[in-house]
Amino acid sequence: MKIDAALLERLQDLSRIRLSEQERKDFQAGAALILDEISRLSHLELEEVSGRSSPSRCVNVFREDTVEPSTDQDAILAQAPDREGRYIRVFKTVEQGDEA
Amino acid sequence: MSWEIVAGVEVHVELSTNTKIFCGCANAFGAEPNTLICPVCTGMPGALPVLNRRVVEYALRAGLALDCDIARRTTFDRKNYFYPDLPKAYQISQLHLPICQNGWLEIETPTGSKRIGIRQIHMEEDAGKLIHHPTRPCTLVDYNRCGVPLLEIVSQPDFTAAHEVIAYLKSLREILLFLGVSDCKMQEGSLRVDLNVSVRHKGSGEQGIPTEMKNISSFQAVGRAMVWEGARQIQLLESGEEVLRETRRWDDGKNQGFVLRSKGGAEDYRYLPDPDLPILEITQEQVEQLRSTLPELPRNKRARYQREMGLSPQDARTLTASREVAALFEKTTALCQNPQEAANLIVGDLARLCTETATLPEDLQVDAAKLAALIVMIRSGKINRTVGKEVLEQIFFHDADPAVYVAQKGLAMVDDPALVEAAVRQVVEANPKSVSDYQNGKKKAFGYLVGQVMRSLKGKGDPALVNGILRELLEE
Ligand SMILES: [Zn+2]
Repeated sequence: MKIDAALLERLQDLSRIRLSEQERKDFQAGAALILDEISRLSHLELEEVSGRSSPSRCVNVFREDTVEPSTDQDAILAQAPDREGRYIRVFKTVEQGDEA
Repeated sequence: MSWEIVAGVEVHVELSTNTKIFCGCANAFGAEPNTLICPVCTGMPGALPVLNRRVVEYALRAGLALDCDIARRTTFDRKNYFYPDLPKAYQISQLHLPICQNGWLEIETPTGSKRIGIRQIHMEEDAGKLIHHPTRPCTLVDYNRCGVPLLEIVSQPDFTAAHEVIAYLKSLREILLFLGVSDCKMQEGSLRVDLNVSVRHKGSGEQGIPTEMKNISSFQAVGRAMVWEGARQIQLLESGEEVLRETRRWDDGKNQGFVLRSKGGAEDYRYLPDPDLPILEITQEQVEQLRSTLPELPRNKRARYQREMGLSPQDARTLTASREVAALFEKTTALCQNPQEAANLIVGDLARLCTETATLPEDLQVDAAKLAALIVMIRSGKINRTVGKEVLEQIFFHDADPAVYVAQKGLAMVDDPALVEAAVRQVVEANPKSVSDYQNGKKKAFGYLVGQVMRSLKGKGDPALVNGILRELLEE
């Protein structure tokens, strides 16, 4: 499958990533390889299987509504690239007009 | 040709479960940031979600109360998008097989009742909370809200007037509160409203291009947003332009909407069945069992209060505005056997006390047994209505026992004939002029004499007794 300029533009928009000219070239080549690999899946015989069907083999597995201790908070926060107190700090990604 | 504005709403409610939808973290508002998190709700690799049984129960309660078809088989899907409020980079939601579909809700409009279709109700998880720094280019992220259970209730585009949307939202909120599935607090974000608006030529039945406005801050604001957005679209179309499929933000302070982004279609979210979550199968027996435990809903209560208790529509409406007030009314009525007096007391003086002290229905701590005792005392003439107000305040503020309070303060009516007669005789003797006036036909003098007796009894004379004894003595 070919990634043309329009599709690349769309992918950039959706993922909110801006690529340089060189990165665009690399990405187009690299992603094409991946897509070719993935496209092999289309040779599987799946006419009988709905795209909406769940791959799960289990039915009705629940937990009760009982509070359990929230674990590993510090380990989780340690994964964050940047912090401010107990908050995780990220670059501001705000849609225009959505400052509220 | 005239235009018609058409709207539909999507309501998100946070469910008032103890825990989150897929993990045992507490579902609580206002905790220290990132204290109610675990590997599951922050999407750590290898963590597996397990569905909270109560979320399904609450979804079914809502679905049954809104006359939906219940799915026999329902599954979860992943909705993929990148944003820092979503640590997994996908939200677990339901697209293909939602738990409830094809329901309806009847609303009252000035021209009669109208059925609003409910397209579907589905379960999903809430995202984290972002705090955008006002000046610095950074955003603070709190994942406590991540994984809080939500119901999304999607209406059909059946609204053609702002007051219909407001009536629907009020009614929906009332039902959810009575079901006890959510506290529906807009200011805490546990009820959020998105509005879809399009316009069409009146009576054409065609479907215009809708725009969406997210997270509008109040029901009244939803009405204003619908009117404003409809007018904007009509103006565009009349000047030969197109309406674009966009997401917009409603600024109620400026009474104006702003464009946020062009709206993505479902395909942009790359929905796929969540392989981590088992299929859910719901049996007819389960549905019937749940249906039998549904509480009486406000609409039915209102009808019953009018039909069986003879209350006015206005009283019935006020009493069913919250589950707590309706319960208080029903308990009080059962104990004092006087629905009208109970209604008068609750919608009158008690409601006034609540307003004066800014007490919300859910915080109201009034003992129905004490209200009932108060009503019995008033009805039997043991105390008059002025004293009744005082006693109610004592119940409201101090949880006082009416009988004890009245006895301690000596507020009971003087209904001992001997005491009343003694007071009447004194007044008659002290006012010979008024007595002769009365006997010469000046009937007004009677009222004056009654007033004097009441004064000597400190306002607590039993009026019937005072009148009777005075008349007897004067006619002698
Ligand atoms: Zn958790």
